[in-house]
Amino acid sequence: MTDLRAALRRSLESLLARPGRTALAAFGLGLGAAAVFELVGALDPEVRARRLEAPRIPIFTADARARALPVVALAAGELRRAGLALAEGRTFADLDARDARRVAVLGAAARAELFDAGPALAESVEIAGERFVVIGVLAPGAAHAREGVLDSAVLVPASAAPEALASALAAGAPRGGGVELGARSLLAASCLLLGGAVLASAMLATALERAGEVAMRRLVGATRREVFRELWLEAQLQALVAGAAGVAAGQGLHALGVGLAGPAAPGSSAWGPPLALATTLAIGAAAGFFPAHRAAQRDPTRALRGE
Amino acid sequence: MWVVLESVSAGSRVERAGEPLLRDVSLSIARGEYLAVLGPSGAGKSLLLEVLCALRRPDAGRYWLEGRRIDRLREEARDRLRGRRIGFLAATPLLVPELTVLDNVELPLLYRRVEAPERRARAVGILGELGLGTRLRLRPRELSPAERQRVALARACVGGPDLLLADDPTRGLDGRSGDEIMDLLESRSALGATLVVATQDPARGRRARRMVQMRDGSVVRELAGGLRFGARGALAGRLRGRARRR
Repeated sequence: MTDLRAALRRSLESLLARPGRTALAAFGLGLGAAAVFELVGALDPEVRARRLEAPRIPIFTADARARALPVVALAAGELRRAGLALAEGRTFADLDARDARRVAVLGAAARAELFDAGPALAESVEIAGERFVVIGVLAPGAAHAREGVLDSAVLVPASAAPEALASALAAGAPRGGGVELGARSLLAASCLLLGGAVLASAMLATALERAGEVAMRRLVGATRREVFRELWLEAQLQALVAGAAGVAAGQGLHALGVGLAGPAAPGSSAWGPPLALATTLAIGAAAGFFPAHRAAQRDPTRALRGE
Repeated sequence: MWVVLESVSAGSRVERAGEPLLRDVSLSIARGEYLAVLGPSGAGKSLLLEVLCALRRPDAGRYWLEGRRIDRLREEARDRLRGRRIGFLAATPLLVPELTVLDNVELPLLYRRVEAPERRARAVGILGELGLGTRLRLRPRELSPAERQRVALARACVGGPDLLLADDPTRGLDGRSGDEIMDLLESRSALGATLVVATQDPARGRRARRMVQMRDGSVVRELAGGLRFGARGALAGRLRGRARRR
């Protein structure tokens, strides 16, 4: 590249000179960037740990306090195997499961919400019209590998979940499970592919439209390779601009709580923006390569004669 | 002789009907000479200029510029040579619409890695000389066709070329603007550049000190003084000798 700053300015100017194409390419790549951004959020264990996707259900205490808290139904053995630290009481025992006892273990924050500093153990809470006895309280920050941080959660044995609770749980928001991740990846990939295709066709049209300019550059001493590099750089810058717009849009949507695939999870990954940008840049580089190459290979003498 | 074409044939790889070919053209041009190439459309004038500016490699024959064999150079070396020593004014100005007049004229220097302050100074200088000093910040679409062609001339001259080629430079211009461009081209020749102008208009051609007439890809007639190429081998030998002495 002869001069990066000049190339940058020229690229921006050429982007602004063709707003329709730019917008289309930006839309596609931006969608892709947003999708990648969201996908990274879904994959990043730190982000996953921060959120709890269990549905919030109203919970009543004996003194008529009501709180909507996420209720997590776990098999009795599952909670024990997770080896979570307890602040008070005990976890579920096999007997609780066998007898389908209505017992509950509270997260540290959930305990504070429901009972303040008062005693919690052996108190009862009402969930979906059934009374559950509190048998334990988790230590603050206790996290389950699949469910996330359980601070605000109310845990009940799966065997004891009443029908009303089970249907409420089933109707809740989708979990960040393997199926959903697959769907998100597919969405991200197809958005990026679409954006790449749009960018490639825009680049091709632009490159052919500018045959006269390419010829002129050769005429004033640019080599084929220089012309190619300039056009390619331009495609990458285009992708970068579009990708930045996409990341901004993705973050904005997240802030509003809307995702591309249903409700967005709160919290975002620090890896999201750079990874989304890098992906769009790679797509831009791939999509822009052929058009730039083709434009640089054209015989400049044709354009000189005004053909 | 400064520019020498020896039995040059070109254009055979352009596979289109009606495409002119250059057949066995021998021509020599002295340093600082002003040569007009006359001929009807399709006579091969453009092809001749494309060979002279090293954009097109001859299929056969030899091309020397200042004793250096040009036709054998690789494409990249020819591109560099063109950027350093040759200015080309095409029939259409081919300006970049998004760039200002000044930036358009700086382009050739950009590819020669000239630093920004010097680029600017030289572009401003040549634009001033060509009467465009008040147009520096405008975009091409804000100029008249005649002004655009003058900007193209400024771009061709900004690098201080030894060889200035113009292919039908007055096409699309009215008589007065056409004369103006010719005057400006001739003023560059007066400053020492070797000038070759291809035109269909004999009246314009007559302004040159020397004219060659082309038809069907061959030089058919030499119309004024100047030196036609005679004993090829002898002249080539002399040129090589000169190159060695330098």
